[in-house]
Amino acid sequence: METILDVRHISKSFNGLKVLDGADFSVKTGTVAAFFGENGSGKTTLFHIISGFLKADGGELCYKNVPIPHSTPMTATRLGIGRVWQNPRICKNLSVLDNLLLASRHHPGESLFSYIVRPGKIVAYEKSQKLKAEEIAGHTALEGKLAQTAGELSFGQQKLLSIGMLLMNEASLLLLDEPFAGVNSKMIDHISEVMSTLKQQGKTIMMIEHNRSKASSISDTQFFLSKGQVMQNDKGHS
Amino acid sequence: MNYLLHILVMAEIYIILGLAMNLLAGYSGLLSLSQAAFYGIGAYATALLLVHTGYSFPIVLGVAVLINLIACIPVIVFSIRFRDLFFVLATLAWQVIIFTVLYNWVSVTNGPYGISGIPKPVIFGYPFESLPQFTLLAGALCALVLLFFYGLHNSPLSRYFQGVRDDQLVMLSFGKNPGYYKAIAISISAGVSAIAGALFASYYSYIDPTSFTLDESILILSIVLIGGLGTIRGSVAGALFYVLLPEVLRFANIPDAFAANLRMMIYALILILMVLYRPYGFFGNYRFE
Repeated sequence: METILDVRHISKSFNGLKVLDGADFSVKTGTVAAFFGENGSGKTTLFHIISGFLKADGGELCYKNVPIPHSTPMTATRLGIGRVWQNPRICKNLSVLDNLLLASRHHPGESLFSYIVRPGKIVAYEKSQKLKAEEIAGHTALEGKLAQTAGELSFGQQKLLSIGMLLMNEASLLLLDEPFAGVNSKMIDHISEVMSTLKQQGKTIMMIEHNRSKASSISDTQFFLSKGQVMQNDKGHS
Repeated sequence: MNYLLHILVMAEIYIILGLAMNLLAGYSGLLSLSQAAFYGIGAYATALLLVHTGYSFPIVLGVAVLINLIACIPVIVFSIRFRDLFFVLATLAWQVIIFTVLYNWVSVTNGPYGISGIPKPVIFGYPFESLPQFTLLAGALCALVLLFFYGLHNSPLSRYFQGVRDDQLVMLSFGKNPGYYKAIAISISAGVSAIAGALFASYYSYIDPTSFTLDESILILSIVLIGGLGTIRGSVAGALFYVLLPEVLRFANIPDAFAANLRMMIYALILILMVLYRPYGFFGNYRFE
């Protein structure tokens, strides 16, 4: 199995406090990796660095064996790294469908130039993306809610919508920050099912989770963060 | 009849201004206080070109739009560098700067004395001199602007503007550059405001800087807030409300000396009541926070 992400000696400090101190690990393509650790152990900082929202002080990130020199959220997204935040970040005043379409990758309607040069292409692409959004809504248990305003969805459904938006964005590596936090057991099962389906489709998932039993049951690899280091614990070898 | 046509022309001008403001505040979440500055630049550009060059109205209008596209560059920079209240303050500063330039650059703008004798529009040799003719021209431009915003509203671009308004982090997370969409929204808004300015200048045949003050910017913003943010009908309703309110007061036989101040007081009171009891405005789908 190929390695999708290689994290080499990543370090990060805030005001002299070392949060990550030479973190080293790799994640295989098509697997689910769970990250555990105490509050403040650097899990979210690690996700911030991988998704380009923070710059590491040192170390290297390799995505599909290619080093990412200066990762920004835009470059990470273009590579196929997607992020779901602990509190789902969605456009709450837009409909579910519009949120999904907003995340659509390489939409010709993104550029003002396209409206002048090739308006027909925008219409055709929009139509195809609407079909794709309907399909993804089915995969994320949001069918029948496409016309609903996203802000009216339950917290768990908003998390599912965030995952759906990553799929619209054609992300290959999904970073999920506490996907089970703040949702009821039924929704936890829903989200788990969606994650299993995504794994079967070849997506790679990295998740931060405090619900260790649930996360362990669906993950292939577990990582523990402590004192700025990352320790791996393959399933079945604890 | 002329009285009604005059109201119609003013309504058409303020609908255009309202729609331009709505793209900023309603769709993109950019609370700008420099809209009157762009309205004024459009009016002055039109006035100066019509008086001094004698170019036909469509060419003058095109140049006025172009000048506004250049004049809005600082606001684009503000929108990328500053957020929320800091952006509001930066646009307020830009409004004050433009007003000061219009007021003090006497050799070009004639300062506080303004520019008089602005010719009426002539398009392909056809003059729009009489009030019915001008109403028709203003109506046609207003209809074109409405059509443009209707198309924009239904285009994917509108979604990206609203994405910038709702959560810029979402935009970044999905590889969209919020600054790019802010720049587009500000440019379109400034360009469209130039059309309103051009109509205003050629309608009155006289302009001076007092028509483009901070008060005017606040009024344009309140048109959108009262009508409702994020919808086209909200901007239209807000503009009609603003233009028709003084006319309603006129029938109440209020002395002229008090009418203007009373209008502002009633307008302010309605704005407060709207914020308290109807924060979405008449037809809005987004509550400004």
